Amino acid sequence: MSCGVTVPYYSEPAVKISILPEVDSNPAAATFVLFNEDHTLGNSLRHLLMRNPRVVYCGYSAPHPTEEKIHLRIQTEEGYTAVEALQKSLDDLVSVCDHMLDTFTESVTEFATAIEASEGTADQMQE
Amino acid sequence: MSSAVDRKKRFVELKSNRIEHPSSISFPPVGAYEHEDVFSIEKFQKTFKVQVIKLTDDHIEFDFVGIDAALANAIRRILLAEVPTMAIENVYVKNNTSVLHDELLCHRLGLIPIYADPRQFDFKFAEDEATDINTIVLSLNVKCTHNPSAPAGASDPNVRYINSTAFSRDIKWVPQGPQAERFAEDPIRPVHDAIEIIRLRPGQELDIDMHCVKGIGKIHAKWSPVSTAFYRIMPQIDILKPIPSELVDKFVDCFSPGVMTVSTDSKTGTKTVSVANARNDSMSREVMRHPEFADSVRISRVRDHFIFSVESVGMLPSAVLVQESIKVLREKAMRVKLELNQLITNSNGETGAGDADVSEAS
Repeated sequence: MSCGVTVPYYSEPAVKISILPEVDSNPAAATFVLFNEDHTLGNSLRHLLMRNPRVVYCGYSAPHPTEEKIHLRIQTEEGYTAVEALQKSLDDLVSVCDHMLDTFTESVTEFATAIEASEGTADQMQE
Repeated sequence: MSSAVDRKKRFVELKSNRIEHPSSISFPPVGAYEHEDVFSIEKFQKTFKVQVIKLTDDHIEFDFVGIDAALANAIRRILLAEVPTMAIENVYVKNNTSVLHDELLCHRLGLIPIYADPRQFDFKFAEDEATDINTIVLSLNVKCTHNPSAPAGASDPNVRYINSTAFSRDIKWVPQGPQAERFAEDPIRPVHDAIEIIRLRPGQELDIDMHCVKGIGKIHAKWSPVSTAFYRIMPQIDILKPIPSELVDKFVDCFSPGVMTVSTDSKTGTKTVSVANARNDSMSREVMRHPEFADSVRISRVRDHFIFSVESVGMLPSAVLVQESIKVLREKAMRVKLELNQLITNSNGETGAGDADVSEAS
């Protein structure tokens, strides 16, 4: 029975992303805060951002182990903004996932069909 | 590109006391990027390969080739902690006269894997009412009694008593609304029949209702869909100079079974050794303890070749779990992308409104 205390077993944050205030407003540098995220998304995005030649610096950190958020710092070269870089990395991650899912599904189907076929021949041999 | 740099990019080399260039070096300083260091989805689509090695409902082993550790690790982490399943969350104990008190009993019940497709259910958020699309109701009603037909002097509790143990198979599904119809073909039940919940003696009784909800392993391990999900990085063994015939057996014993193969010349009896299957090696580096094999072998790992092994608890087939984990990662990226666009539009909107005020004033 409930004893008056409810522990939320699943929740979504009201705010998913924010940008930390900077001293100057240079769009080529920003620190994004991603709420309810950890190394799973942080490291994936950092990897994709660092392979973008127009990104000068990228790093992420989990500021505190009990706070469910990460900081993602992006600095870019002139004429390119941190927001654009993040948008590109997110688009890239979506495409990577799409391709991974297609390729994986394809090879699982292929493998299962091959097994079925070989079992079929085994059955025929038994007959 | 020089072959030494190429080797560094492709392999992590193992030395007797250290690992050489372990971290990815695909991130050169700005201006020094080579074509292959720049990420492009077209290139990824060309180089990325998947190969399934073993496949059953419980276990899948497959290779991801042409992917960075950051992404492979994301998939592994999601499998462990973020692919949703259904598990018992609320337990309503109407009667419990067993030796275990309610809290421990509830904890044990929560950990029993429930065979239910989580994709057919919604998350139940704190403010939501329980409905047939976010909650499964189960009940456990077991009473232990003396067995009237037990032979005199029997000492085995299973013979002397009826229901001397409450098993997971005693948990019964109570379909709500259209659930009976929706899951008629594959009814909801505990994944395993013979999980011992508690032992009972005559007069002891359990009368319990349970509510299962959808959740993720990050919140509590009972929602984790895998028993294990891990990857190894593909071993690569190069024999740099021929191993003398008399040392071949000793050399072969330095590696895991099946890694090396020996061929014997039928006339002279000379043995030659070659690598048969580096995949099986445990990378023990035993060979480096023997000075006679110094400089004759090079052991490394292929940086972008991941051998995944995923064992399902049983709610979903192992291959489906991997598919779901990729979908979860995609969903994360989509969510951030949408909210980022919203954030940008909102902040632009604010400055836009400010400009309008200024023009009005002038």
